[in-house]
Amino acid sequence: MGKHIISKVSDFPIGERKIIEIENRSIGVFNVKGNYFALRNICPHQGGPLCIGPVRGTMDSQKPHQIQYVKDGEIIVCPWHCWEFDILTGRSVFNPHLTRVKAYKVTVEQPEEGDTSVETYRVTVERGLVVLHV
Amino acid sequence: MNPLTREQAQDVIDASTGKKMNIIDCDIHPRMPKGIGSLAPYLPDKWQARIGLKGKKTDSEVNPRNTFAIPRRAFFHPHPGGSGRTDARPPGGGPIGSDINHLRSQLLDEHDINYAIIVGQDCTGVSGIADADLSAAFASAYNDFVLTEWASTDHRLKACIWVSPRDPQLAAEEIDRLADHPDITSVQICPMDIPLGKRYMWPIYEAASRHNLPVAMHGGAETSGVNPPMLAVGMPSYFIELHSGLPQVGWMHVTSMVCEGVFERFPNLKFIVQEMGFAWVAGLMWRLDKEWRSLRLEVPWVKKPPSEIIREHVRFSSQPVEEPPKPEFTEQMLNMIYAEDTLQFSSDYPHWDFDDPRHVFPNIDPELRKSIFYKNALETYPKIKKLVTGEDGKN
Repeated sequence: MGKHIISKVSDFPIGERKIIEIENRSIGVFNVKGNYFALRNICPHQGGPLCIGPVRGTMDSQKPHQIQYVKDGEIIVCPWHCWEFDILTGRSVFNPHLTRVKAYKVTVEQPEEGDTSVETYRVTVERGLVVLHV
Repeated sequence: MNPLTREQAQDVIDASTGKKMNIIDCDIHPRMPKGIGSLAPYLPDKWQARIGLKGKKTDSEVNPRNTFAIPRRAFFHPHPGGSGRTDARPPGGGPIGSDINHLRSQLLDEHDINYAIIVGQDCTGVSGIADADLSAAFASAYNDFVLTEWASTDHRLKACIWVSPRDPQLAAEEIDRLADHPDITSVQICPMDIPLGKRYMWPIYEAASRHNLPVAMHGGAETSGVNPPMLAVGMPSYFIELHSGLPQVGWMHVTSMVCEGVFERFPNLKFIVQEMGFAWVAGLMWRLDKEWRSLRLEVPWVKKPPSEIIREHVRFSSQPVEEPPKPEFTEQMLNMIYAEDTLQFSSDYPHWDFDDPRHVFPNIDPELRKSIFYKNALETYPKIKKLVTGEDGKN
C-alpha cells in the first residue's frame, strides 16, 4: 500500500469524518481535535460498518458506582452491537490488548511548491491487455 | 463405591484428624425438633413475649391463631411426607432430620464425610419475616441453637452464620458476633425481592470480607412469609414449576453481584449459590460476556469479562445434580462451567432430592472428582482449609 491524498485540510474540519474507498478497502478517516486518524470500516465482531457509528467519549471507573466520562470525541461505537474503539489507536475499550481494528497512519503534509499534478497510477500493456496498477 | 482410589489420585490428609479427605458436604438440612419451641433457650425474652413463645414448648402450642409461624414456601411438596426422605425418619420419632445423632450415623458415618455444613431447614425463609428486627433476632437465635445443640456434637458438623437480608446492618453485627467461632465456616443468606448485588446489601459483604468468610445463598424464601415468588413472570401453579425454576433466581443474583461490582469492591469475597442447579451457568457466562462487550459502558467498573469474575468468585453446590440423558453431555457441561473450579458437592440430606455421593458424577476424571468432592470447598471455606492443611486460605 502507498500514500493516498484524502483532501485539503481546509475541507476536513474538526469533528468531521470521511468514509473513503482505497485499494478495495473501506476506511473511515476522522478529524479528532485537529489530528487525523483512520480505521478500517469493518468491526472485528461481525463485520459491521464500524466507522459510520456515533463518535463519543466513554465511561471509565476507579471503583464500583464511580463513573467518569472520558475521551470525548475519541471513541467510535459500532452501529451494530455497540463495541467501542479508540479512534486514536484502533484498540477496543473492553479488551485493548486482544481486540482491535486496523488503524492507518494519517499525516498532514504541504503540497510541493507549484505542484499542480494529479494522482497518477502506473499503466502497462501485458499480453495485449491494458492493465492499471493501483 | 468410594469416590477415590489411591491409585488414581493424590490424597489429601486432614491434618487435624489424620483422616484422608473424601467429601466436604456443603449443604445439609437438619430440622429443629420442636419447631419454634426449639428456640426457647436462645430467643431473648422480649421476642418470646412478642411471638407468643413464652412458656410454650412446641409449634402446636405456639401457633393456634394470630401468632408467629416460621416462614415456609407457599407451595407444598406434592408427596405426603413433604420434603424429607421417608427413610430418614429418626428411629426415636420426631420430624425427619430432627435427630442429630441419627444424621451423624445415616449421613456422616455411612458416606465417610469429613465435614458437613449445616444450612438447616428452619431459617431458609427468614427474609419472609417483614419485621426486620424480628427477622434478625430469629436468625441470631437459630445460630445459637445450631452451634450449641448440633455443631458441638461432632467435629465433622460445621455451621454458618444465618443472617436476614431485611436489615443488612444488623446482619453485619451478627457476622461480627460469630465469625470467630471455631465451627463457623461461612455467612448464609436467603434472597428477598432485591437483587443481592445492590449496595443495600453491601454491609453484609463488608463484614464477610473482613472476616474472610464466603457468603452462601440458599432458596426457600421465595413465597415464604411476605416474599413474592421471585420468579420472572409471577406466581406459578405448581411446586414443580417453582422448584425447577430456581435457576432464574440464581441467574439474576449472580448477574447482580457481577454487574454491581461486589467483587471489585470485595476482592476476597466468594459467593456460593446453593441448590439452584448449575448447567445454566454456561449460558449465563456466555450471555453476560457477550452483553458486557456491548454494554460495558453502563458498568465501567466491570473491567474483566463476567465469566472470569464468575470463575474466580462464584461457586455452585452440586445438588440437585443435573442428569442429562447422555454421559457426554455431562462431561461437556462440566467443562463449560469450569467445574474444576466452580462446583462443590452437596448432598442436601435429608431432603427428598438428596444426592448420594456414591452415585453422582460416575465416570468422571478422578482429579475433577476430587475437586468437586472436597478440593474446591477447601478453597472456598478458609476455616476448613486451615483445619485440613494448616494454611490460611487466601480467599
